[in-house]
Amino acid sequence: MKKTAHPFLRDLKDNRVKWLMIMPAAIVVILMCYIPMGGIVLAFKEFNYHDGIFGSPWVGLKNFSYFFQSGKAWSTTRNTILYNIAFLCVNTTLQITCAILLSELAGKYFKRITQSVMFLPYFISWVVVGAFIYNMFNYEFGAVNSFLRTVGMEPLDVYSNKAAWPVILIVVSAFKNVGYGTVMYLASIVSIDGEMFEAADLDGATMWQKIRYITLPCIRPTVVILFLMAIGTIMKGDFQMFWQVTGNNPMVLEVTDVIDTYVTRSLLDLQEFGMTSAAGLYQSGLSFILVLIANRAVKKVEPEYALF
Amino acid sequence: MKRRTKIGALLMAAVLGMGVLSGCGNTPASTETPQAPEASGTESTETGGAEAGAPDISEEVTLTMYLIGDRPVDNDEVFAKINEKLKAEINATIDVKFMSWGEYESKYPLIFASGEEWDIIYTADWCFYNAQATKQGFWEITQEALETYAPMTAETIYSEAWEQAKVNGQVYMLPMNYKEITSYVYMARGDLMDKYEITSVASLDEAEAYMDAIVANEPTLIPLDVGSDYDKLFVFDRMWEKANWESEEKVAGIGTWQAIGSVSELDDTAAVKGNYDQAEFQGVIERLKDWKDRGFWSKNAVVNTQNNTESFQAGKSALALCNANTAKSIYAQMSTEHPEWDVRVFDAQDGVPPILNSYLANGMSIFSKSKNPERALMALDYLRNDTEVNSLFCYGIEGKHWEASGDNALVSLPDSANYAYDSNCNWGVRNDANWRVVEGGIPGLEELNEVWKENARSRRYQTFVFDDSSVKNEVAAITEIFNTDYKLLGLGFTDDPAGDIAKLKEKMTTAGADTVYAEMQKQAQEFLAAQGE
Amino acid sequence: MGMAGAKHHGKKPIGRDRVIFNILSYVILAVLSAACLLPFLLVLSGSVSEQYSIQLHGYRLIPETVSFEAYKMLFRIPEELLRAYGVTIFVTVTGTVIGLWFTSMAAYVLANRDFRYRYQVSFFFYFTSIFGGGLVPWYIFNTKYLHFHNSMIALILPILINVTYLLILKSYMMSIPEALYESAKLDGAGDFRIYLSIALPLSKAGLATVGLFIALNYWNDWYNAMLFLDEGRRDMYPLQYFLNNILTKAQAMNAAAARSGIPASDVPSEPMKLAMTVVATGPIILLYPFLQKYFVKGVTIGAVKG
Repeated sequence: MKKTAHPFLRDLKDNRVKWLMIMPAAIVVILMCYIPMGGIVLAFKEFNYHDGIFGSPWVGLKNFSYFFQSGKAWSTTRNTILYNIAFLCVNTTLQITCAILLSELAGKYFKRITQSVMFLPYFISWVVVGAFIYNMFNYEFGAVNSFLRTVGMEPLDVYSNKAAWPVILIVVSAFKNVGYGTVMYLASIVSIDGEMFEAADLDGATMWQKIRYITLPCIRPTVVILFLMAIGTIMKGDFQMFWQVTGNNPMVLEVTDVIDTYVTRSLLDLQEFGMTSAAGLYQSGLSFILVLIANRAVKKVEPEYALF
Repeated sequence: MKRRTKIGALLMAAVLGMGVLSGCGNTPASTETPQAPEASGTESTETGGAEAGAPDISEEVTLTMYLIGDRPVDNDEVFAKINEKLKAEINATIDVKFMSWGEYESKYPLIFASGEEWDIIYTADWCFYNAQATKQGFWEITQEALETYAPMTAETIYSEAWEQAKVNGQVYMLPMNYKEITSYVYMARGDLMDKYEITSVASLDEAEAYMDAIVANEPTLIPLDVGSDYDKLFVFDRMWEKANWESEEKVAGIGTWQAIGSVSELDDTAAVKGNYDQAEFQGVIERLKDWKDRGFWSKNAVVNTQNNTESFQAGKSALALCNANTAKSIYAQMSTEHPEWDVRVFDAQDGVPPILNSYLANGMSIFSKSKNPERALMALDYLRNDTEVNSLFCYGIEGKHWEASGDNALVSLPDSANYAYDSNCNWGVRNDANWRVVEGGIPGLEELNEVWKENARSRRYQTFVFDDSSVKNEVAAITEIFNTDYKLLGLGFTDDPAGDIAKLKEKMTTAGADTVYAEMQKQAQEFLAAQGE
Repeated sequence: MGMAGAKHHGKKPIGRDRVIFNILSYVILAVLSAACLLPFLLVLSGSVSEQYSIQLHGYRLIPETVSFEAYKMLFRIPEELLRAYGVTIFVTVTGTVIGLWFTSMAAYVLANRDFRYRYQVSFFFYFTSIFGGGLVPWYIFNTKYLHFHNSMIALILPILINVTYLLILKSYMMSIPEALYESAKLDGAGDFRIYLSIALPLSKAGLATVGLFIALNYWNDWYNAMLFLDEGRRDMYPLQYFLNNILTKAQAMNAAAARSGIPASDVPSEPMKLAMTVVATGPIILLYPFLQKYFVKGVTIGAVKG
């Protein structure tokens, strides 16, 4: 702490209550995240138990090379990013729509019941979802194909059809997350100052106008922050979803393989901490660059909404 | 912390998906399920001289031993008896800890890193032996230490087993002292066989005829409902092994199973090739494609999480292909629940001699940071060789959990529900000298067993262990291909066998297969030289 | 404080736009709810089906034959299950209360436009959601230095602060008009007072949301229990881990049987998976309706001032 430390120290003193209020959360984060973060060096090491994390020999970038040598680096990176963008767009639209509909509805019981029911999928584990999908689309016994056969149509072989999987994954993701995300936007909508709607009513605004000019602009900060958070995890796939729902099906891997599933498949037996660490660092690094860009863009347009 | 979600997910997959077998789902079929012991050729005596060098045992120690699985209800009672003896003999007792099948994949490496104090752990070639040994996780067991602290083992251990356990020339594991063979059987529905006048399903051709009849007449049944997990390559293995056994070069697999490498046993230069480069490969894939196209298994077999025996038990399929012990395990249940199916069991080896399993399929190791590695080795010596201690660990308390039936068999008593035969992760200390099989089972199986035992053979590269430390990146890439493209071909999912095999070859080359095979050949030559061949 | 704003719906005769809107809303929401309800019904019906029936025919809305075997296996030792519920409830309540408290204090400060370092501190938090040291270093630190082994704190601390929730809550708090803070300040209130008397009451919906999410994380967590609890400490097992354990144990017994050729036992593992979902979902789903009173639109901010 040299010259520049002065204002900081002064701020520490002047705003000590504020700093104190941040402290508990900050300490948890330091303990649970920052200290273990030193382990990132594993990405550049060949780990052994005897020398431990910091004593193990350095191997430079060797741990990274398998990922790029595999020829899968590009396709898995592309899939990961594209899926995340698709999930973000579809889920956000659906969740905001539901939140608006729910917030405007008057029927109390209908509202409560629908809200609770929409949360149910969140509790069904991906393993069970995967089993349901298999039961639906299985070629010989699946519900869909049984139906097609009874009405005299040709059965579909979904598991070898590459085009079907992006659709299935997007639908399944929307289904699992609709309740969860809706709550988030609903909380944002209900915090809008009621006086604004009253004023609009007096001016004779229609429903659509109120949604367009009051609700949507008011939930923008939430949308932006969730968007930025999503960019931060854009390089990570929801591992369980991809693993369980596609059943790790080699026939459609080209369009369903994301970085996490690929890394898990190839490294499960090897138990190479360094190599998994390297893959993780690649994901984090790329996400970080994207976040910096996105945050800068947000800051230009609406400085208040920027994350940092 | 982000790794957590991934491994957690995997765990869920293991826990909820396939169940325990997916835990060892990464195991090649041949090491999946230990088999009936080979009684012949096990002249090992257990009269080891216990007093070699007289190690210092004045201080009493408690050894912590990690096993995989769940604590059997009577575990503590059994170990109280074991400890009584150990206390008297070596002034030590064992405290057993368990990590369950659902979590061992993530927990196993962690306990090495955590700084926790423990001493002994179960290990195996499919259970991280190589990975932990090369990361200095295990205490090296030198010949000298073996003779000093484990004299009974030093005397009785099969020398092939000792050789096999070497990683870079050093031993970190006491492999089981137990010869097991894996042999496969078909289980077919007698009622359907009679209906379609099939008399036998004891070869690939006969199985083909039987399945043809099913496809033609029983639209609600899948003939052989193979799954996508541990049984995905069962049919491929039958065909491939038969083709290899009948080939002139006597082709045999070499190295880790994921490496897809094979070698001619007659070739003294040990030239390693990819399976796809062997002459017989295409024929096998074409036959698999033909079977798959005829509807012998599901069009969705690559994502089917049920294995073929489960489907067979549920009445969804007409044929099962499994190893003899699995068949034995479900046969009785099926005959009581569905006597009308008249389940019949046939030899599926089809003339191919069963393979003696690797000794590394089960073993025990000592933690490199153990405070009392010598005492741990002494304890293992007793667990392996002392008839009383060994039987306690493997079968439970005599008179409570089991009853002897002759010298080589036993009968399980009702209490065995609380300590089941050969189920407490005792596999690492199995010893032919003390081994007993469970009586009863499938009619005719004993005779088959005799035939198999007579024919069983060791492959030339049986004890060869590939050290992949210099080619890890390539092995990772090849593992991926094994799990995807190779799996598809192995289930007959291809429209153009020749073309897809060429594609597989191209991918393997890009992944660095040539480097791996060259390294493998180099090591294999050293292996042959060391064996004095 | 006012829920008064809700009445703006009734102020004028219902217009055509609202009629269309209502019809649309009911239809869309009803269809969506049906889609969400259906799988859960399948879970329910599957959990009381027989193993072979699921293996043979898959999941059905109406079970072929009804069997409570799966539930019997889960409830075999009722005290243990109850204790597992107890542990989970304790961890969920403690974790949610503390987590929400810590999170909301930090979120309040970060939402405060007077706070000079808010961007830097936000970055300090956000950074951890992108970079992490990986499982092994994390585990070593927690066991070697924090001594998490077999401790209740291992079930609480790792998921106490979720940075995403912190930043979401911050964004909710930023929508509180600054004028309110200003007037409070003029009245001589300190930061903690303002946090208690203005920020918290005005972000009830946000707190309910984040609280719900934290609670769900605790409720569903079994991974930390797996890592840090010994198999000997069954009395500390939370619900999800306890249920998982019953299933793996049953499956392990069958696998061991197949391995050594002893007769296999009959474990309804398919229905058990589904019964586990039902048993684990039951109580927590009841929490949500309680929170719904905080999700009513049109709270008039002005009402708080008065």
